[in-house]
Amino acid sequence: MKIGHLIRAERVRQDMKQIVLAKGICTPSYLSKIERNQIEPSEDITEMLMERLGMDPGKLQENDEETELEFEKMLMESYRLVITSRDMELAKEKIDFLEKNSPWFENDSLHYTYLLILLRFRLIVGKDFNEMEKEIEALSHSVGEFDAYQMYLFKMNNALYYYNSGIQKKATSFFQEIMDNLEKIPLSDWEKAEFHYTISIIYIAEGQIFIAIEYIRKALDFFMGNLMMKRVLECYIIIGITRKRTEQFPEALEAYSKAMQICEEFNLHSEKGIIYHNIGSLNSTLRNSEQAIEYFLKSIESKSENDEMMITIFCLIVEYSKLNMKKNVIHWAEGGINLYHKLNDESLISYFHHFNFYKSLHSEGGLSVEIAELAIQHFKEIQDFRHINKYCIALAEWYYNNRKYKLSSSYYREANRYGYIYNKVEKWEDL
Amino acid sequence: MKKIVMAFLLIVVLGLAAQANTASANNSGADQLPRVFKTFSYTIQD
Repeated sequence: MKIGHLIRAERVRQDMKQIVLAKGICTPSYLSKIERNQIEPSEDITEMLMERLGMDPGKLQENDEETELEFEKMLMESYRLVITSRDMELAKEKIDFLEKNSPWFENDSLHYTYLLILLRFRLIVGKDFNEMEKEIEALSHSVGEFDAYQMYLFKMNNALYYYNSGIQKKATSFFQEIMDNLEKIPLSDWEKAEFHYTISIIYIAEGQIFIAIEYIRKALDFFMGNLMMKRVLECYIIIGITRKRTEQFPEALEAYSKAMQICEEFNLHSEKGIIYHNIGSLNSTLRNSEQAIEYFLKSIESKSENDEMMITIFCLIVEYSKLNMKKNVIHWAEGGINLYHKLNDESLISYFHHFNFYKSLHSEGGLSVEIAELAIQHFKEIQDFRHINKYCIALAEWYYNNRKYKLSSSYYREANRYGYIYNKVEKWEDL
Repeated sequence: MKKIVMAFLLIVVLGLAAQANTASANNSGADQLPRVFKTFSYTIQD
């Protein structure tokens, strides 16, 4: 039996050197040939290699068209269900099922599809990114053998992995590679719509609003045609955001109202929190702080997921701060800090610094330089230039009001420096 | 005395420039995008 692809994938995943795996069983060069499916090893060698890797030889599945077709059908259906429902619990369930019930296929192509889909599910669940990095590395050794669809899955996994890890440039280059070949990839309509949906969000995050609009319209057409109303609702939220960012404020409100209407008509009440948040955000941009606060409070009330509340609590604090409502700022900042500790999620640490900064700024003793500097340091580390700019201004003003002009001017300079970077300006003449 | 006046003027200029940078970006109101899955951070702020 040809099992090279299975051995290689598992060995790389376990970060084991060929010499270690081969020791006492065969020579490393013989193992290398096995892994490239250039030779078929004896049953004894197969068993010993699999045993050393902790693989169950009893799960080996020889080439058998019927079994393979059946498995592939089940695999692709699971994939469609998980991606379209975007239900984390379902993803976890499918991972468990596939890990326990999947044979080791001699058919290497099917095994690659299996590994690629399993990795996509793991990305959805989002546990143990180091493990996922190893899986991507293991798969990257087999790209030469991938067909067009597997290549799509591989690039998509890479793009999502890097996007999630905050390495935007790498993520974008993978998305771009997919886009360049999109017409050549045999994607079904639902998968194309999913891709358009994802890519539109990525473009918004990168500030490329007009391209985002183009893709979200395509996704909306599909979801609307297939009466996938939760997805239609989400498309309207995204359209609202694109309208807001292109300063078409009444149109933004119209899109959010449509989303809200769908919530009511189709009993999708759990989605109200995000819509209220965005209406609040729209009001904030329009300088209607009171109304913004009203919507942010409604949003917090409607949200069931605690981690989703963080962004709304932060926006609420900003509005209270703009109105100089000190007690409210402190109340919500303390609430946010408590929630941060309760959630115990390191990815939310920026919120901790935001909350701490505002709490300190509005406290009786006034801004603590230590807290401000810690926050600025944090945003420098994650290269969030906008917030370095903002908090440097706040600290400079604090020093200025306390007649510490030298320190004040140095923080104003720092604020300007990062303001330039954030606005992609090199010299003041370019402003 | 001259030094203090100079420092004061410098701060005013720097302060105005820093604030102009922020204002031009029209940043208020962080939007919340729907997310594809839990770890995929779709909460963005301009």
